[in-house]
Amino acid sequence: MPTAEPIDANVFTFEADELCIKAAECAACGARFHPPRQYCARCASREMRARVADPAGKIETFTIVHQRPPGSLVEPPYTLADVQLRSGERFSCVSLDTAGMTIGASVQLRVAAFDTDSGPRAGLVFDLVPEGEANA
Amino acid sequence: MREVVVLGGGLHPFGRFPEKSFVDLTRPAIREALDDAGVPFQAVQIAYCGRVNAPMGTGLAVVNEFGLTGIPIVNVEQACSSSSTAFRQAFWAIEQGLYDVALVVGFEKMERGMIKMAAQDSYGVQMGQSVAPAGYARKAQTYMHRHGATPEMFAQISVKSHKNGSLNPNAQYQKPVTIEEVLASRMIASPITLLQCSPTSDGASALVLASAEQAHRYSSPDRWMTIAGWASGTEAYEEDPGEEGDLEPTVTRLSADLYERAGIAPADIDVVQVHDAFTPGEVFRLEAMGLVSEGEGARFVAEGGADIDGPVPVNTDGGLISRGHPMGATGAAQIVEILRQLRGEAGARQVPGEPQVGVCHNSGVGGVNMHAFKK
Repeated sequence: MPTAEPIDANVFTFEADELCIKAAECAACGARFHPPRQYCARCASREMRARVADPAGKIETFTIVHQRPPGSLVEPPYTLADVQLRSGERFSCVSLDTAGMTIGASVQLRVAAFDTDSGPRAGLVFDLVPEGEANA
Repeated sequence: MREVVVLGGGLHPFGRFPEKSFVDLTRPAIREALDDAGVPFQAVQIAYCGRVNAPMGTGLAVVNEFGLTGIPIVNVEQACSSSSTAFRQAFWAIEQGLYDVALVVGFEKMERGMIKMAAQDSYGVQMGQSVAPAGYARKAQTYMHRHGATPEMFAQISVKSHKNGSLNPNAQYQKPVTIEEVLASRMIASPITLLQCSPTSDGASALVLASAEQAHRYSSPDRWMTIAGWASGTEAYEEDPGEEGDLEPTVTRLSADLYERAGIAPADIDVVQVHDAFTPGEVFRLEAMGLVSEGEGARFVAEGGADIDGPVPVNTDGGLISRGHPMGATGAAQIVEILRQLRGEAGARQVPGEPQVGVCHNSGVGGVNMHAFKK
């Protein structure tokens, strides 16, 4: 259920209260991107198709950030990871947890609300999926 | 293509000088470079200025301080690699026969704290993803996972950098540190602690370049350093790297270009400056440059392989970590250090054995520049 308006509706939206992670797929080479791109980074094609990404994926690598960078709404310490989703998109994402992070761990994306000067706004975060609960 | 040489270099010490203007910082650096080169300012035909956080056109103020000679003055903003880009442009202009004598200036004044790398209202910034050390930290986690390296190995690089900085009167930090102090300093982005981060800095650097055919008018060849090769680029799209992906694909690609143009191999390199904004960067880049085998770099540096008297001396002036990192000034300062080393003028931090070949790697948000130099 949406808790707040997205910080950036180009990153995700809610469709019938369901999280819709926006992605783009290149019509020429099939490369997939999140957030969506207008043109393909892999082959420079301008033919891109809108897609919805699978919220399940894995950690490629990560760090625990202990100092808040300028402009960030996320309270440190938090995890900043490179994530790859099952649907193929690779991008940076934070987790509000720091314990148990490992390379290769299964994750699930969700939205979390953050306080801003203009009220609560929603951003994408990931949670670790307990071992044994990850879908193949 | 014409041969191009570096005739002289100069620096304003790196540190915190909030009371100084840009001209206050650049004046001594440019004056030292001109005097070191034996070139009167009236002979300079074009100037290239690398800077990041300066008002528009500031390059004109710092160069015109020496006289209103009416030459073209180019302002270059390419983040941490601004002044190595300024240097490359000056080199190309002379190599192609457009000019004979060029001045390169790098300068910066910075606020304390983490740098801002993207628009502050962007999604990534608001969601805590725009963290300068985190890119290095995530690669360090991958490196440790693959190769069994330890946080202590990365911390030892800071000990080495500060030891070298203690021998450099222009360094921001001239005090040695212990590995215990490095590991006990505040965690910033695991495994990188505060003393493994380059500081924000104020400072300036300057170089004078000339065509080899005109250089004879100003100084003798024993004071020259020939620009033997260059390579520049930005990150290309990478396929899913999987478990074995290259941590520094751009440096790997550009090193091959550099070595081919310069006619050198890694074994020929006697002294190296790499962009170590955060300690793990030194390891990844040495490996990508072929100076140490993949997976061996952290142990190699930790065990003294990159010390001034080691087999591959790296960041002999303290590097970004200890010399300091005034973004726009860093790239040209690296080249000044190679000039000092190849001339045998580096004093207490001189690499033994009369080094003949030096290489610089300068990188950042703006891309990667590499240059090779021969005595």
